[in-house]
Amino acid sequence: MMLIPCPWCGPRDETEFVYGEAALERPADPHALSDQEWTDYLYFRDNPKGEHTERWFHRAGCHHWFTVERNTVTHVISAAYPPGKAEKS
Amino acid sequence: MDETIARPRSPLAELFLSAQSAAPDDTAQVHVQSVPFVGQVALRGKAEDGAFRDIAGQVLGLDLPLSSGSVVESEAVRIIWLGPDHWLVVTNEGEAPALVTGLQEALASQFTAVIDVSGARMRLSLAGPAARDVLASGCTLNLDPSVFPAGHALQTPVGNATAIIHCLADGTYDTTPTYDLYIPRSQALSFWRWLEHAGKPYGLSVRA
Amino acid sequence: MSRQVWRTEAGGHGIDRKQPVSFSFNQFRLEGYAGDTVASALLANGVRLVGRSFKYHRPRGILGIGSEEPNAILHIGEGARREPNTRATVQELYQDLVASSQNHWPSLKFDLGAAVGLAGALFPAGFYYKTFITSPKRWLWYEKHIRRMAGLGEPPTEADPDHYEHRNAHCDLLIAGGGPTGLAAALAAGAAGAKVILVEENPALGGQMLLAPQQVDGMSGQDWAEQARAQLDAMPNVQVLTRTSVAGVYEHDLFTLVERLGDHLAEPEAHQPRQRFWRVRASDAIFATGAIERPIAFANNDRPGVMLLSAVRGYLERYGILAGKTAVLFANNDSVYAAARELAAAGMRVEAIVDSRPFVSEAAALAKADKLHVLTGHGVTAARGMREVHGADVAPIDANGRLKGVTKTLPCDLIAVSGGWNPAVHLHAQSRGRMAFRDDLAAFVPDTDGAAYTSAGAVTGAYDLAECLQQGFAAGNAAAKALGLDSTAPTLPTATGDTVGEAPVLWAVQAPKGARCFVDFQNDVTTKDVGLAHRENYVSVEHLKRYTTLGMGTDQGKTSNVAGLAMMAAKRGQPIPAVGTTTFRPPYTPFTFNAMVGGHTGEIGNSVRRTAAHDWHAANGGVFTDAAGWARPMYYETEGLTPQQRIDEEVLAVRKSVGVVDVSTLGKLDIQGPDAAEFLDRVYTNRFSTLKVGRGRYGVMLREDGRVYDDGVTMRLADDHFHMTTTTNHSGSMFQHLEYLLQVVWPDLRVFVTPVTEQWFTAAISGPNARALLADLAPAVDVSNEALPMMGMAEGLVAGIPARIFRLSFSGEIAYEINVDADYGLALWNGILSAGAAHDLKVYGTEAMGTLRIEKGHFTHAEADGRITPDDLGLGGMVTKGKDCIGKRSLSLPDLVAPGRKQLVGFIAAEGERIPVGAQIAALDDLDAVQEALGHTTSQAYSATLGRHIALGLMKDGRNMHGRKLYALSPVLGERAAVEVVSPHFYDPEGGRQRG
Repeated sequence: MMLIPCPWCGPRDETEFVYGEAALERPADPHALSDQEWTDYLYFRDNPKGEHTERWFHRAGCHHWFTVERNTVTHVISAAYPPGKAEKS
Repeated sequence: MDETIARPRSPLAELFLSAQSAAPDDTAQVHVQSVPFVGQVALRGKAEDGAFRDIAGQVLGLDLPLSSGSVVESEAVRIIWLGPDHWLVVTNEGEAPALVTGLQEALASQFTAVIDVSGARMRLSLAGPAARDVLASGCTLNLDPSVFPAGHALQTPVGNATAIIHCLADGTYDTTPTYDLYIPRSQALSFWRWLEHAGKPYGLSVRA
Repeated sequence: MSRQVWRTEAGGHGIDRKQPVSFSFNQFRLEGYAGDTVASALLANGVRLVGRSFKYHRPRGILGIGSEEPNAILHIGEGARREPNTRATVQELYQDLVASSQNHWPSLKFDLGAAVGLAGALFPAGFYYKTFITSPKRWLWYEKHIRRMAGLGEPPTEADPDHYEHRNAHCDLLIAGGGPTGLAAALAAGAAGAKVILVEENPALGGQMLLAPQQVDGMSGQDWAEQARAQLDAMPNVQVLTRTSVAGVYEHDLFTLVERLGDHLAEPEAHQPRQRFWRVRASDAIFATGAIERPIAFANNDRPGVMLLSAVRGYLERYGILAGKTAVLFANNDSVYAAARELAAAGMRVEAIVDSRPFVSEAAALAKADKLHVLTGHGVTAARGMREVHGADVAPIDANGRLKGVTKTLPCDLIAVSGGWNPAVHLHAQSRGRMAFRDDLAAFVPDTDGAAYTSAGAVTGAYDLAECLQQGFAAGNAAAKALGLDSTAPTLPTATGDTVGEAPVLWAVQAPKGARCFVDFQNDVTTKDVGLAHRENYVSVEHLKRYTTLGMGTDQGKTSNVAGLAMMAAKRGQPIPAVGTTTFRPPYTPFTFNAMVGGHTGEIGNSVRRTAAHDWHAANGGVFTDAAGWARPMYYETEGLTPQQRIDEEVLAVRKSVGVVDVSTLGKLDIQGPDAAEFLDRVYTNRFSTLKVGRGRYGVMLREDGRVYDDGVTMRLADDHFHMTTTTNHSGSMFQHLEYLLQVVWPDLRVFVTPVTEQWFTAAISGPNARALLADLAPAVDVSNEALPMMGMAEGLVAGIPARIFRLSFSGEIAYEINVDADYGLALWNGILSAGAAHDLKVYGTEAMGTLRIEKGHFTHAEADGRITPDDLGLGGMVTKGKDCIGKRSLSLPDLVAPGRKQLVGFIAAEGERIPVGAQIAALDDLDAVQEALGHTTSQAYSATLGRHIALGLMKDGRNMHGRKLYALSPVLGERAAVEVVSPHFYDPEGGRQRG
């Protein structure tokens, strides 16, 4: 059971959160993408053993989404910040 | 009672009505009281929006609290921080509509939302030497007075519901630990059943 | 009642001889003393045969003295309180305790399985894999025999009457283990002011100090432990939990504990929990978990009367019991000499001390000088006896346990064995700590490199009491210092205990052909099974474990794992660390599901959401169903009517007069802000920015992959203010979805979304008389078709309550949704009912609502099942051109525009036929034929309006199939119906009724 550091509320139990998905940027104009590019965005995800940047929603707390950098092996969370800040591309 | 006048009804109405006729249990270490019809207003706005903060603060007579856990209080209102763009303003029964109108008019040109949510949550007050033990059976937050002192409030899962816990007295300086809990209305009865279960080892009594 | 024949005249500091306690074992009445465990009480009465083994049904006794016990597992208690698989060595005795053996049939002393040797033939290593891989049908034959022969205890069949509690806690330092090391650590960290939780699985603190005579600061180890306890109890910052086990170590400093508050009592004290399950977040932890003595394998080493040496000492020291009259002691270390003197002094005849080491240690020489019978360079090769030991075969052996001389038999009724110790590294391993192998100890110890927490004491291989105390103090001080606390190191006590000396490892003594030498007692794994696994080329220790079931019992191989993998390593000619260890998983010791559940069953565990009119529904025959956590009435039971007849009446009331339904469960979101309309344009397929204030619009939302996500009506309350409704299912996820878009994707949009589902009670009235009813309820509101048309709204008093009235229809009739503050929900409901009497109003539930919407061809999540596009539902026209929205890009992907997609259709059954639930649509009226599924049904109902059974469904190219006569088949149910494919809009397809 992880302790996830919400940027607004501080560390809280994992049960308070909902996992979103990998922190990806939605293409600004999906219609500018080829079918291949768009389906890559829709369906293809890295599944790293190690560092992963992902989004969580503080469902039972402040109702905010934020970005978490988490090691998928050790669960060590190295950073958590609001969306749009220090975002990895 | 005049049947033609519509009356509000608490989701725990029958439970607490029956408690009125029962003798209080003096051995109980936790006492529960229902305060079903407090006025509640959801106030939305960006914490970093100074104009919004100033106007809302003027209407409410208090500066909005700006950090997790913080609460400010006056005779008229209690303002609980719920998020960086969300406050719960608690007021007396029946006073929410006027408060909503006042805030909406004053904030008309601001990016904000003011919503009467008086029916969305009911309030339970939990007091007694074992109040913290009962909460700790279903709440993962550290409720120790050094971390969660009187005047502190957080939204978090408690038992089978998501509640706002507001510590009114934390047991230090010979006070009796006392907490207000705000419970989603639809889950009130289920939460009550959880509370009865969690309170069993400590003795739980209902105060009308 | 029998006398306690094996109890010594005096001694045993753990028991109270003034308090006899009677209990029963396999229906025999026996007596022990307060302070006894079931194991010590049985031994006191000379009972050694306590169970039959898992596979071979061999007679088994008591091996150890603590939680490591693999053999002596019993049923404790009766009826609803019967607890299977309870370790007799842990279970404390209480008055009238009822204990019984497991896994024997028909009786403990005469076991049929063992007698006919059936079990022996049944279960070589890998039995299941080999037997059932070729022919699964063999399982049918074997199953009934295996079920009876194998297995452990039987769970109770009645509900548990006891209370179980959960508790969350936070501390600076969690110390696992209340032996000398843990006590020293707690004293040090506690004195410095750290918030400490000290956890000990036994009822008393002291650990090994309670199981052998030792001296600390000039007092007995036991007295020192009591003094330490008193000091800790005086510290408000220290909490001591006895009878508590650390079950698991998890990420981010989470520890789970199981506290047994009532297991030592016949029943828990009034209102008190039997067990308490703790979740502790600790900033730091010290593992002072000690070490577990390991046996040495020899032939028939599982016979009752073969015990661990430390256990034999402990039963004497703590319980005043001589576990035999004549003993052969067998060890690879010096602890055997202190043990021999203690046992002899208490009156046991020590027949021989068999020391496997080829040299004569100092302690051995002293023993020889004192005329003790010492055989160095010897081993016990076999135990003699069946139901209990009556002799030991002893022979000279080499360093690897191979025979080098003549075997002679020594008479004895007890063989006490010590093969060294395995540090209890479990918690360290659970915390992702690595292991280091100590050749001198032939044991794995915690690798300090990269360790998340500190291990101290015997778990690090420090078996000497003084060293344990020193390590404990150091660890406690270091932890306090790391917390920034001013730590003044307490004075280190001086300690004397026995020494272990050099202990060259010996795993097994060579056995005669055909004899069984057990490695894992609980799972009946022998040295031969390990050999067989090796011969069959099992290389990985994880595979060895699964193939032989080594270490897979309830004891998790606490006495056997290391020996098993050492034997594997020897066969492969590799050093032990190269073979590796198996994974240590929580829990450290077994605990009950009830502790984990904590009584959180039913609605205590999973809350039921109730609408404000719930009590009315319940009092008036409402039969509830779960809808996304809400309790919703399906229909209202009525005397003299079948459920279907009642549903038909509810449906016909809506079609002919007026009905009312509680729709408070629909999700409701308040959406406000200057960009609210733009935002809705981006999330709905259709446009909301063009909607007039005071009007509503039906909208469909897509997922990003183009599939229908949700639908509902959104009303425009003001230019920048909307009220959105969602389906009951998606009210939670919709909020999350919209917040994601606002916070992550389009942070520039100025919109606030606030969930208000809880705020509103909503009743829908629908039917030809709905307008007249509303006019009565809301005399001040103009409800004419002109003032309040379809998709219009009004605000005003309804039944005297301030309300928002939305005119929209799910049923296809004139309908209004009336929303009021939920505190007034019941008042509104009652108001509608009393005004409704004049309009033939009937209350209806979700079944009738479902029938009405099927008749209208409205989809729900039964149809939009996550694979379906708007066009599949016939709603392609709702995807507005000239604007983008979430998911729109996907609608032009090749698969979503390809011909042959399944489309929404209706099915109408032939007169008198009933369409089965979840039917497949096929051309032939044959439930057994292999034929193409042309489509499937998604929702079905009996339509009282049409007098036929009807269904919605999805069919390949469905819109071109109208008029086809086909069959709805359910091979699963064995039901079928002849159906005609029709438009999904069965009733009033033009929609004139709802607009009227």
